[in-house]
Amino acid sequence: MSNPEAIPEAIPEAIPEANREVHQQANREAHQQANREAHQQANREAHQQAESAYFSVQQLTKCFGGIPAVQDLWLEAKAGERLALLGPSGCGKSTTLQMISGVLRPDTGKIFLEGRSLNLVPPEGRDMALVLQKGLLFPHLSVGENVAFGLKMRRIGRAEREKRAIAMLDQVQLGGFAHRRPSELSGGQAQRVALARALVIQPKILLLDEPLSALDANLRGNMQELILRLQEEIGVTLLVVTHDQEEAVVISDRIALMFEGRLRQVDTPETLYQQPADETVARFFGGVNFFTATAEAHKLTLAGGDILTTAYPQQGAVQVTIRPERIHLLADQICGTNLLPVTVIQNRFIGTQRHLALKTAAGLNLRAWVPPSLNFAVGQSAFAHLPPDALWCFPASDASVSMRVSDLSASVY
Amino acid sequence: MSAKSGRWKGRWKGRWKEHWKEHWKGRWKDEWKWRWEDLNPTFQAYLLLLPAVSIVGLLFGGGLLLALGQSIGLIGIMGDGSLSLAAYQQVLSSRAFWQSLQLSLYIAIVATALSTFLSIGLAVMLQRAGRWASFACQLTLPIPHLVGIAGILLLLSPSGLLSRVLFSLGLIASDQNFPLLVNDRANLGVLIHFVWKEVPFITLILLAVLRGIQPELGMQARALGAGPWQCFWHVTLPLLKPGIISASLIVFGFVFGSFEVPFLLGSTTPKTLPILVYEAFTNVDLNQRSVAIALGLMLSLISMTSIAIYLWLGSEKPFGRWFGRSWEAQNKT
Repeated sequence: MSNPEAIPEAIPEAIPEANREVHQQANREAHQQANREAHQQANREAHQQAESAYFSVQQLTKCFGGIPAVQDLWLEAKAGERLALLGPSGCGKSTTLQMISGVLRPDTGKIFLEGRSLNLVPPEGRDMALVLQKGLLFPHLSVGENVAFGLKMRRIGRAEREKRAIAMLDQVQLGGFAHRRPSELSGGQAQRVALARALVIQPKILLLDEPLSALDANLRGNMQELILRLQEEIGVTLLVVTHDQEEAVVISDRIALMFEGRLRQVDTPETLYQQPADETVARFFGGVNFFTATAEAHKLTLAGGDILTTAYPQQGAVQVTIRPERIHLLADQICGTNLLPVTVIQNRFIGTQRHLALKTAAGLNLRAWVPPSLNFAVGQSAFAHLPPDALWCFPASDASVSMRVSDLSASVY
Repeated sequence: MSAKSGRWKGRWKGRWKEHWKEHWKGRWKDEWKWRWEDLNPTFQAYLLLLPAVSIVGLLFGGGLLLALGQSIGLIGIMGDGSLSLAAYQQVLSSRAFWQSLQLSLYIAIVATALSTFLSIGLAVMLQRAGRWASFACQLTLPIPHLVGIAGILLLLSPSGLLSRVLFSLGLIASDQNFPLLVNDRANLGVLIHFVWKEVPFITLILLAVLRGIQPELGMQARALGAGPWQCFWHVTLPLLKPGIISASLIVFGFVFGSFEVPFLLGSTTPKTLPILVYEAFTNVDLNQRSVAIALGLMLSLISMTSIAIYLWLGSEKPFGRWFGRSWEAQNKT
């Protein structure tokens, strides 16, 4: 062994921490760069579409005690669109919603609705309705008075507002509940009353802040259906804030994904699932398979020497991901391309699916969600087919970090 | 057959004894507990209240009964043991009583209303302030009324501090020009004292109620189209109502029955009812004793009646559920 080779062996022991920091730094800068580019593009578009966009938010920023909660946020929505603001708790999505509704004043930024700037418009003049978590009905008013509240504030006569409130209650399947007290309602009923209370004022935009998080799973499904049905009937533009990606996927046409006060990706649910912008996005949507490769157009060369074909051309070092439900597991070698020989190392039955952990001959860990009828014993050999259109890759800016994370997660599973 | 039945009988005897033993096992011990748990919860609550209520009932109610007996001449030094309503007749026919009642009600209503309005404003403004606000509010609470009265006399009387300052500044020619704020006919001094003393008290209660109201409710109201003023009027104030009612009720009852403040700061010609009672009670003419007691009983009666009226007015929808009725009517159609 010569000296020049001995030194690099010693270094990885000494600097993994420093390495990680450098990578994180690079990561952050890359995101900022991506953000900036996205904004510049959005800016150009905003100038072009200033009239055409029904609702837009530009450069929205809010700090609490010097700590940024929302940074430089750009968003647009078409009339009648369903848009979800998705992110982990504390990412600034509720703050954004409050600034849009007007109860919170942004530090900088502009909000437009139908070409009108809303910055100086108080919340009551914005033609928006906000539904908060748990419904939050006024405890001193009956259900009917709660629904009629917005109309009363608009000085609509009693007979008219009672008629409209009762019609709205019928629409949320709560006819005959008008004289009840809010304390007599169940959580789901309260949430429906809150929805009726918001819709009865015929807002241009309906803002929902975690509307279903306090309900149990069954009720949540019903409420989602109700919200979607009412939205289709009324045609109101919908802006939903949620931390639940499944809810966001079901309810919305487009999802705006936020992390740490910044928008990361705004796309359709399908795109976010199949073509995430980076590993964080992929992981947020339940992505578990990540590995590095070198790309030459459609050809991916894996670290272990395996060669895969992808439908999406890339160049250089890339991070590859595939949804676990897109991996096919075959007992025999039927077709030739994108087939990796694997060993099943874990088999978990979860009712509707079977979660398998696989290891390729080259030592790559993969997780596959297969139909429950495909029962592979632990230790059994099989072939994993990775369809080319399911193999998505993005530049490996944070390759080594994610490798380490995925190794960790693999060892946990 | 007989042998068979005899055996059966014997067996039954044994089983019956066993059953009996089993039945009464631990019954005596559990019986009281079992009965207590079986009681209606409302009745349980009343039963638990009984010791406290009986003490109050004996001391207060007994006292009232004794007073009633004295006022109608059944008990007492001057009475001959026969029933007579002369004392009540004397009270109700005297002009001084009606004037005093008017004055007492005027002071109680104006002082309560003023301090309540000021307190609502103060509490809403102090809502977002920190703990120091509550502390500042509590500052005047432990000061006795007598000390407050002395302070007001020193400050606001014609020879008081304010008058002297204004005189030395040349704003008034002499202390005769200083407006009469103490022992005046409008009882301004009394009102000033009560407002000074009761505003912190009501504010303290209202602040506690305000802090219990979810701040999101205001946000929700604004987002549904309520302006800041509408939000206060339709959300904050109704939610604050129970606090306002109980706090102002305490103040009203206290001010109506208060003696030392109108005695020292109030007007001299019409006197408030408690002063009238005091003067009749300490009169050298012992015949006045029954009048004093009759007056005192009437004072209690008026006080209780006004509190009942107040509670009724403050209750939800005192004049029938007008709005609620219209909802129900629409539901039926």
